[in-house]
Amino acid sequence: MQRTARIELPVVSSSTSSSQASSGGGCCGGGATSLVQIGGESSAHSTPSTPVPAPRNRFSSRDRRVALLQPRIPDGNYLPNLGIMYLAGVLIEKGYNVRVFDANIDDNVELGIRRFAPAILGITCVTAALGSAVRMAQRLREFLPEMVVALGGPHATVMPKETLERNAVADFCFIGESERSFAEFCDRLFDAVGDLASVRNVPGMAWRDDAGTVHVNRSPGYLEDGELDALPYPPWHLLPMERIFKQATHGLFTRGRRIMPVMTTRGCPNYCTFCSRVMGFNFRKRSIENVVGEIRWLYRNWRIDEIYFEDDTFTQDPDRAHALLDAVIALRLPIHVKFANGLRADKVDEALLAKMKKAGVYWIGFGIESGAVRTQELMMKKLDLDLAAENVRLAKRMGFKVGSNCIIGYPGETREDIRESIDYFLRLPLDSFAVVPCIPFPATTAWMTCDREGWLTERARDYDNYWFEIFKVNPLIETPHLSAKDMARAIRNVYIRFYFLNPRRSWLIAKMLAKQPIRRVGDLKWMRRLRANSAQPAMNLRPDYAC
Amino acid sequence: MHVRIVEGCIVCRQCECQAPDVFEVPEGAHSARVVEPSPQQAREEDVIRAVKGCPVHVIKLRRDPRNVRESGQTAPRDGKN
Repeated sequence: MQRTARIELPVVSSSTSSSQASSGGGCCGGGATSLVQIGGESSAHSTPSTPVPAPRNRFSSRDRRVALLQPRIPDGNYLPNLGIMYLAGVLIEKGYNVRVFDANIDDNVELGIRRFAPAILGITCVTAALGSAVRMAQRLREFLPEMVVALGGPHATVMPKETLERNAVADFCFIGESERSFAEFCDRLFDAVGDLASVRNVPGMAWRDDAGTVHVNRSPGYLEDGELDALPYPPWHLLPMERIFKQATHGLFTRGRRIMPVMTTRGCPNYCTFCSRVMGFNFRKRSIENVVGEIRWLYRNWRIDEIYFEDDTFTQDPDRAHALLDAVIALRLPIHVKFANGLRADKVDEALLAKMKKAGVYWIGFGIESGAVRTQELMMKKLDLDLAAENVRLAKRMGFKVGSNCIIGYPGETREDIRESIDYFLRLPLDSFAVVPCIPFPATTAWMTCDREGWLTERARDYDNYWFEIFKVNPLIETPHLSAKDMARAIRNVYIRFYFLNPRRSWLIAKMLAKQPIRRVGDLKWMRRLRANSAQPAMNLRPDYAC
Repeated sequence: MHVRIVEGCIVCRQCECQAPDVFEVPEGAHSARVVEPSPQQAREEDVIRAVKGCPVHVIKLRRDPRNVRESGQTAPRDGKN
């Protein structure tokens, strides 16, 4: 018979805030005592049989266990997270016992983390995944009360203070690139046998003092070119690769079945005001040798057949782009290549596109975002729309599949701007087109504008809503120029005009969907899991998806 | 060297990225702010990069601090300084 025991521990109550709606009810710890059981499933109704020894201090163990977690992201695309994989590689080289868990491909991450019983749990999260991450951390805390929880990734980077103030389960927040700071944090914390005060001056980190006040230590800066080369390749063996291959997707078009993401540069010097720009403005590059070495290594170890380059701006340095493509061509590997994160439409030319084709690129995504001149100015994207249109046509003539994306409802955009934008895109020979309502990600200029003008809707108070919904549009912004209803109507209309009233595109999409039956089933399962895991009612799904 | 930010900041964080010791964007703020109005000469290159990189040109740099009063206004140019 399994022994169970009950230990009463004080719960760190969440800081109350008038906007608790953001937590969806999942963050409120209340002031009650928490009941923790050792040796059995958690239950509030078991009675103690024998006295239980104090929990072992996991930081005193020679086995330095660190778990890294990617929570479930409510998005149709899925790729394993490069950020935590780079952290994992750095920690492994330092001798840590590291496990990586990905809730997007594994329904049992919580059980896995409980069994692994790490001393430190690092969670990366985008804004839309923050709620899910925090709720999971709270559930895990019931079983692992000593575990230190550190949040990182885009949302923690832009809102470290608020994240710690509103989420008592999080002990620390890491800002920006954390290869240096998180490694130093782990070293110091283990050396000090878990004394949280010992890490308070780690740079690039937010922490809470004894009075509950949050402090933010300045970032140590970004890794330079040589330092990027010095990073170990992501230790993909820590993840169930075959499961990843079944689900990896970024965009509608894909050719390979064994796809892996690679990032060859970090940073973007452009000013697009809707972008969080987590990796900063300075454009930093890995060497060509380092990148092709990784591609060769991926092919030899996992027989990949497609690479997704996830750079923010691959063509920022055209000479380097040419040199890297030459090196990929020289590899002579049977690998498709896709610039899944898009290319700047005015930074390509015929020579570069020809080289991309030779290197195995079959689809080009141009991040145009708006076809209206005025909206381009508002976004500070400053794209040459005529040149962009020319390059779209050029790419089509050269045999690429071409896609683009459009943001509707940027703060300040009028109905006339939207009409101009949609007309622009509908004139282009695109094969795929993603249209989304403007999501004012926290701490971006777009968000700042909406916050200042009072244009954020009620839904914008809940970070769980900060993702792109295609089938049901519920905008987070409403401006005097454009109501939420207008925005939703405009997006639905453009999808109908672009896809359903165009036989060629309808046929193309149907062919793509038919080629990937597993993914379609996976999508339905994902939707069921999303609903089950959400702490709030699935308001964003139509009743058709109920199960 | 004296640095200030005038009205019109769009909170792109470019300045904070280039010279984090000199510029800061407090969380939730609607403008960047100068944390070190008289940065050391060693930071000049970073500060100039921040000034040149500002997309809305709201960072003002005065290299010679001798004409700057404590209030931040410039002293009258009477030819004697």
